[in-house]
Order: sequence, then C-alpha cells, then structure tokens
Amino acid sequence: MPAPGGARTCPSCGVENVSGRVRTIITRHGVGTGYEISTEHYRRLRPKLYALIRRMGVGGQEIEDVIQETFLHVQRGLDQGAFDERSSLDTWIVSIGKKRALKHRRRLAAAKRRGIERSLDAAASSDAPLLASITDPRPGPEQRVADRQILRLFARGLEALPETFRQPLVLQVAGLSYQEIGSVLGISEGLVTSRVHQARAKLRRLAPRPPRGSPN
Amino acid sequence: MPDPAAKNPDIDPAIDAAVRAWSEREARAVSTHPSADDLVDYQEGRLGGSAAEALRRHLVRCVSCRQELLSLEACDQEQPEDRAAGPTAEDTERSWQRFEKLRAEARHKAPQPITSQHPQRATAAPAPRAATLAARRAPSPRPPSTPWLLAASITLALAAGAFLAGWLLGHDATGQESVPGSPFIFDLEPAGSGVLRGAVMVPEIVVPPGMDPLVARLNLGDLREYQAYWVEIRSGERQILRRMGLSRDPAGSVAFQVPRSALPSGTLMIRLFGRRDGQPHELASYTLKLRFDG
Repeated sequence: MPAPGGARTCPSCGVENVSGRVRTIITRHGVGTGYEISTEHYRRLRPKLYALIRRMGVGGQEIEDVIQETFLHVQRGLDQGAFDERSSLDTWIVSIGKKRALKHRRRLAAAKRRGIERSLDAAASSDAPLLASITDPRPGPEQRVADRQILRLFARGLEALPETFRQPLVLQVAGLSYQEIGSVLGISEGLVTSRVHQARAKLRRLAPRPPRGSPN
Repeated sequence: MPDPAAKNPDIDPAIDAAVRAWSEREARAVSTHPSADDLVDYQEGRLGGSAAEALRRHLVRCVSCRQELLSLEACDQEQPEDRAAGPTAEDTERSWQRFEKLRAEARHKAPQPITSQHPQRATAAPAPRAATLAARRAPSPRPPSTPWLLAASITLALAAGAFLAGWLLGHDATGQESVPGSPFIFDLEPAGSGVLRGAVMVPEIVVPPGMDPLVARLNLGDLREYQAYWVEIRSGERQILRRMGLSRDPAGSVAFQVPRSALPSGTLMIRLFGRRDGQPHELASYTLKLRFDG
C-alpha cells in the first residue's frame, strides 16, 4: 500500500504504519488507528505513571482511574496522529499522565482552592499598613510622610524595571528560593541571583541619600 | 558610587514593601489561569515564544499556579518510597485487561464512563471522524452532553463500520462510506489553547452521496467561557453562506449542522466567534475544501 504521508514504524508494536491525509493515520491495526499501545509497553510504563500520579497527590483507586484516563487519552491521540515524534513515545505518555493527574487534582481541589483564593483575595484587599514593615512601631508623622515618599519612589522604579529583572525580584520577595525562582522562570540559579541583585541595586539608587551628619 | 543601602538599613524592607504592594495589585487582576496542558508543557520546556512568555508573566502574579508548577517540578523527582508503594504485577495485569476492555469499548461502542465510582468524571469514547483539522495535542475525552450529540455519536459508530469496510476495499482514508440519510460528521480540532488558530493546511473533505446534513463539531477544551457563540460560513468568494448561533455544552463542545444543499463544492471558510462583555472575539478559523460525490 502506498504511503501518502510517509511510512512509519510503531514504536510500541513495531508494525509499519502508513500516514493518511488530513492527519488521519491508517495502520494494519485498523482504520483511523495510529500507533497501538502494546501489553509490554503498558506493563513497562504503568509503574512509572503510578509513582508519578501518586507523587502528584492522587491516592487510592483514583490513581488507577487516572492511569486508565491517561492510556485512553494516549490511544486516542495516537489514533488521531497527535504524536509528532519530537520526543520518545514514553516521554509523551508520561507527559500526558502528568497533565491528566494535574487536571484530576484541580477538579478535586476546586472547592478547597476556591476557599484559599477567597482568603488570598481577602488578604490582598485588606488595608494592611505597608509602612508597618519599614517603620518603627510608632513612627512620627514626618517619618510616615518620608516612608510614603520612598514607597512611591520604589513603586515607580519597580514599574520601570525591565520584566527580566522585576520577575525574579517579585518571586524572591514572595519567599521563593533562588532555585525555585529559576524553575518558575526557566532560567539558571546563577542568573536569578544576578538579576535579583541588579534589580535591588537599581532600586536602591532611587533612594534619597541621607542628610549629611545623620547618625546612620 | 556608594551603595545607599549600606547607609540606610530601611531601604531593602522598603523595596520589599513596594514589591509586595505591586504583587497584591497584580494578583487581584488575575482572572484566568493556564490550562493543565499548558502548565505541564511550560514546565517541560515545550511551550515556546509568546505563549511561554505569557505564562511566565502569569506565574509571577499567580500564587496558586506557581505552587502547581513547583509541585510538578517536585513530582518529577523519584522518591525512595516509590518502589515500596508501587503496584504489583497482578495489579498491572488487571489494569491492562481493564484498559483493553475500555479501549475496545471506546472504539466500537457508544460512549461509556471510565468508572462507575466516579460518574462525574465519565469519559466518552472518541467518536470516529471523517476529518480532523490541525490537532495540536490529544484532545480531552469528553462525554456528549446533548441528546443529538449522543445520537450523532451512535450514528458515527455505524458510519465507522462502513468506513472500515470501505478502507479494506481501498477507499480514500478520509472519506466516510456513504450511508444515505445519515449525517456526515467531521471534527474541527483546536490548534492551540487559549486562542485557536487556523488550520495549517487546507484539507479536502469528500462527502459521499446521500449523506445529509453536514455536522461539524469543535471541542473548545479549556478555552474560557463566552457569553454567546456563533459560527459564520463563507464561500471562497467571501460570501456569507450561513451564520448561526451555537451553544456550548458542559463538556466544552460546540456543534452545528448545515443541509447539504446549502453548501457549494469548493473552498469554505468556517469562523467561530464568541462574545464577552459585548465584544465579539474570533475563536477559531478554518479553511477547507468541500467536495460532494455523486
């Protein structure tokens, strides 16, 4: 049979597949079927998926449900020619497993998350005195005015910072480690350190110099 | 130039306070969150360009998505207890048998739920398709939630049987075997999440004789909700052939049907729109060639 879209070999079962038009793949497995998940493949990958899904906080019988969802999703994707071979089939399947587990976790945690978001919103909308963290417990009026001015100065400076500098600084203030910041932003830990330092340095330069003769 | 912070220990706390104020303001502006697919793709380095940049900006502003991403990172690391808590060979064998059964059902029967224990997470069998346009990723299996969609799925299952026979006889891979009086159904798949893009190619859809009407379906997946949806079908000369309102079912799909007689052979443009806050937004656009056999 000619291979209009190019012949490929199924990495799972080794059977030669023939790509059809419109991204439909026809194989000897049947119409509309691309690669077929084989028993061996399933047996090899299931423990890995099981561990991954469990680590993602899914427990009990639900792990098996997510595994089944994953493999059905994978088979459907294979049937539709969604596997583009840019990664290995195993990597692709594990990635789908991760996505299914995350979706599952999101569904289960929806109510709880709504609660958390509400509390976050409440915290965000509260009028917590920002100056409290930078002033003495009972600063005088002059000190408060000065602090507000400094805050405005830094707020403007922060807006003016390039995102590549602002992002790591924001995450650092949020309490993330440099390693975590690197993971979130997709940059190295060393680059995070450098950018945070530079961002702070840029903002510090905005601060008014203390008057001559001040004790500090 | 001397470092001012060295002379004023209040400066760094003031910077932190300004940053926290910025974070709180930005967090309040966050209204949508990336799909699980996009988050995993980003974490695995498969999301590039402006999509990755947008997600990065979201992560800086959104605590919950940031925590999800960091937990994904942590989950990639194997743990010592993995081996002890892993499934037995018997478990895996039972699991395989269950999968084989579900796969067979998904391919040959009407949609079935994955598990009776969690009916709210029931997953539908994939409907046989005549044509798929630009599927970027494996779409989520979803249950049909409208009666006519269920009926269409059953019809499709019948059509798939005819398609199989046709294929074995060497028929075109993309065509459905003609079942006079049956609808001709094809799926339009999203080419991306968030904003759906047009298909990267112009496929030809061959409609066998007697199949009427034409039914197109599109699974919008995790795309945000709009207040209203409508579709516009134009000819190759940009003349509007049809414009009709749509409703999105709870599973995220929209579908529309057009009588065979209403569409000419040749190039068609299908554009899907959504309305939010009084503004129309184009959600998807597909160009395809339609050919009627017989």
